[in-house]
Amino acid sequence: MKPNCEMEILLVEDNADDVELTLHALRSDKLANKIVVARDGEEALDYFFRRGQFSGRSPDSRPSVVLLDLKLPKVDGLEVLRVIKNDPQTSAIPVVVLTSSKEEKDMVASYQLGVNSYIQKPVDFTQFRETVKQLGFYWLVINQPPPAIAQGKK
Amino acid sequence: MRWNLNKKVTAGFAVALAVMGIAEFISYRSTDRLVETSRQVNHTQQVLDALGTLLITMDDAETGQRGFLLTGNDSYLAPYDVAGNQVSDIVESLDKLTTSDPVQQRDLASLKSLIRQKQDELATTIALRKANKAIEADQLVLSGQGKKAMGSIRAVIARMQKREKTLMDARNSQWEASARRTTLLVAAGVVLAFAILLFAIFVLDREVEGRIRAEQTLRQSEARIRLLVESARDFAILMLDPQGRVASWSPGAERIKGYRAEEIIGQDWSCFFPAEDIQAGKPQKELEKALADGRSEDEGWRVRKDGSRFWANVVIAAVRDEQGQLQGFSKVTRDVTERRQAVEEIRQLNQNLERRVRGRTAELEMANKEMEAFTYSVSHDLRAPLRHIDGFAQLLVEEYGPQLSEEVQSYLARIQGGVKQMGQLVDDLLNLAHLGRKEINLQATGLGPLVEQVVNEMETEIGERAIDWKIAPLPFVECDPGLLKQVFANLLANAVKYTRPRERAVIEVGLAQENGQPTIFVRDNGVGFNMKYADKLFGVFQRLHRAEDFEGAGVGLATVQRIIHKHGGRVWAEAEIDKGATFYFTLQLPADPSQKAA
Repeated sequence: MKPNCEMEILLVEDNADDVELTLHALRSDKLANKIVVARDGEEALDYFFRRGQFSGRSPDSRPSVVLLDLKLPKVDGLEVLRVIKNDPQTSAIPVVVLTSSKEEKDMVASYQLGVNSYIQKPVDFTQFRETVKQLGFYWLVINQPPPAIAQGKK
Repeated sequence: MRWNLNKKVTAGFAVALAVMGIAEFISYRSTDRLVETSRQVNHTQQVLDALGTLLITMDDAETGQRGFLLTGNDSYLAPYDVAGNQVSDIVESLDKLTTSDPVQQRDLASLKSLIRQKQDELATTIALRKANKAIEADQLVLSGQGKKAMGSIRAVIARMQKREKTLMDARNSQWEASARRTTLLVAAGVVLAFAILLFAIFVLDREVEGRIRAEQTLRQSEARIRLLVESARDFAILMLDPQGRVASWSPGAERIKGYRAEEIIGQDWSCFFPAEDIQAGKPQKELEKALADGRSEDEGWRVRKDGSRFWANVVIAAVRDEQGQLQGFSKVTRDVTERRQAVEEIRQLNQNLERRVRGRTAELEMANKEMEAFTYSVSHDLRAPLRHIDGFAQLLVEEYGPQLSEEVQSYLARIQGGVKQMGQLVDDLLNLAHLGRKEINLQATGLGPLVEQVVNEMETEIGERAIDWKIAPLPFVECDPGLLKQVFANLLANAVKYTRPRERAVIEVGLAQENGQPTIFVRDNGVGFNMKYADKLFGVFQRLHRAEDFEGAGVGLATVQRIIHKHGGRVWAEAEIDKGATFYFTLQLPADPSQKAA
C-alpha cells in the first residue's frame, strides 16, 4: 500500500512548535503530500466552508483526515467538531482529536459529537512521533475513506 | 338504688302510720265504750238510789201512819204526806230509768201494784182513825195486810237492786276484758310501729351516713382539684359560663393574664383575645367548636391585662351535666411564648446555618471550579512545552548529533531526562487531583485477577529481574475496580522498585486479620525505610529516598492513601531498613444502604 498523492491532511493546531513537530513526524514517512494547517478554529471552519483564505479551494478536494487540537483561539476544537459533524457536507470526514488533554469531559464530549478517534499527545517526543506516524498510516493507508457521495457532494 | 331506698323508707313510714292509726282507732273505740259503760254504771247507780229512796219513803209513810194511829196527832202525818207525793215521782223516774230492761219493768209493775196496795192500806187506816174508828183501824193493821205488802215491797226492791248490781258487774267485767284487749292491741301496734320506724330510721341513717361519706369524699376530691388548680402556676385554669363569661379564676390565670379574680369574674372572655381576633369572631368560633366537638384546641396570640401579648396554647372543653345540659366551658391556657421563641430561634439558626452552608457550598463549588480550570489548564498547557523541549532536543540529537560534542549530547540527554520526570509528575498530579473529584463506582471485584493483571502489565519494568511472587488467594470485595487496580499498581511498582538491589526479590500479596478486620498486605524484602519517617510516607511529594537511588515524585503513596480513604479504609506501613517493607490496607466500606434505611 502506497499513500495516495491526492491525499490531504488538515492539521488544526494553534501552537507553532506543535505544528512543527507534527509536520516533522508526518513528513518523515512521506505519508501525505499535502498538509494544510489551520491555526485556529475559525480558519478550520473557513477551510471546510471555503471562506476567507480558503475561498478558492476546490470543492472536490477533501481531507482524508482532520487532526484537531481542542484548545484553540477564537473557536475551540469542540465547537469546530460540532459544526462539521452536524453539517451533511462535512459530517463524513474522519476527525481525530490530537490534544495534550486526557480530561474525561473532553473525551466524552468529543465522542458524543462523533469524533472518529481521540489521541493524547505524549510528552515524550519519540512516543509522539511514533503515535503521529501510526495514526497517519492508519487513516491514509489502512482506512478506506468515505465515498465522495457520502461527503454530501451535490 | 336511691329510688329504691326512697320507696322503702316511704313504705316503712306508711306501714308505721297505718299501724298507729289502727291502734288509735281501737283505742278510740275502747274509750268510747268506757264512757258508755260508765254512763251505764251511773244509770245503775241512779236506779239503785231511786230504789233505796223509794224504800225509805215507803218506810217513812208507814212510820207516819203508825205514829198517827197511835197518837191521833196530825203532826205524824207529815212524813206520810211527803212520801205520798214523792213515791209517784220516784216510781215515775224508775219507770224511765228501766224502760230498756223488761225484767225490771215487770218487777216495777208488780212494785207499783204493791205500793198501791200499801198506800191503800195506809190511806184506809188513816181514814178510819180520822173517823175515830181506832179499833177498826187497829184491826186492819193487825190483820197484817199492810205488813205483808210492805214485806213484798222490800223483797221486790231487793230483787231489783240485786239485778241492777248484777248487770253492772257483768258490764264492768266485760269492759275490763275489752279494756285489757285494747291495751294489748294498742301496745302491740305501738311496738310494731316503733319497730318499723326504728328500721326506717336505721335505713335512713345508714343512707345518710353513706351520703355524708360520699360528700366528704367529694369535698376531699374537690379540695384536691382546687389545690391542683391553684398550684398550677404555669396554667391558667378557669371556667366560663355557657355565655362565655368568666366563672372561676385561678392563681395561675392571674399570673399569666394579670387580672385578679374580682376584676375578671363575670367579664366576657373575649377580652383575652387581640382586637383583630375579636373582630374576626374568633372567641365565638372557639366556643362553637368546643360545643360541636366537645373540645377545641388553639395556639395563638392572647392579650394580658396590661395589653402585652403572649403566645398561648388553649384547650377548651364543653362541660355538661348528667342530662347533657351545657354547664359552661373549662379552659386551660398555657403560656408557650418561650417555647415558640425557642422554636423561632431554632428556625432562624437553621436558616442561618442553611444560608452559611449554601454560602460555603458555593465557595467550595467555586474553588472546585477553579481547581478544575487549573488542572484542565495544567493538563493542556504544562505538557505542551515539555513536549516541545523534548521534541526539539530529540531533533537536535537526531539531525545534528554527529556534529555535537559528547558534553552537549550529555546535556541534551539531561534535558530530556528532566522533561520525562516532569511529564510523569504532571501526569501523577493530574491523576491525584482527578481522584478528588471522581465518584467511586462500587462493584463486587475479585482482587486476585486484579493483582494478576497489574503484575502482567509491569513486565517491561521487571525486565530480566528475578522476582519471586507469592500471591495468596484474595477475596472478592465491594470496591471501585479501576481505583483498586491503581492501588495495587502503585504498591507493587514500589515493591519492584525498592527491591532492585536484591538479587532475588520476594514480593508477597496476602490477606491478614487486623483487629478482626480483613486486611490486604503487600510485602517486599527491599531496602525498607526508617519507621521514624513513617508518618511522612503518604504525604504528597514526600520521599524517603534520594532521586538518584530510586526515581519517583512522591505522589504514588499519596494516591494510594486517597483511594483507600475514599473507600472508607485505612492504610499504613511497617518497615525496617534493609529488611523490607509491608503495606497494609483495609476497605471499610459504607454500610449497606438498605440496612441504613431500616
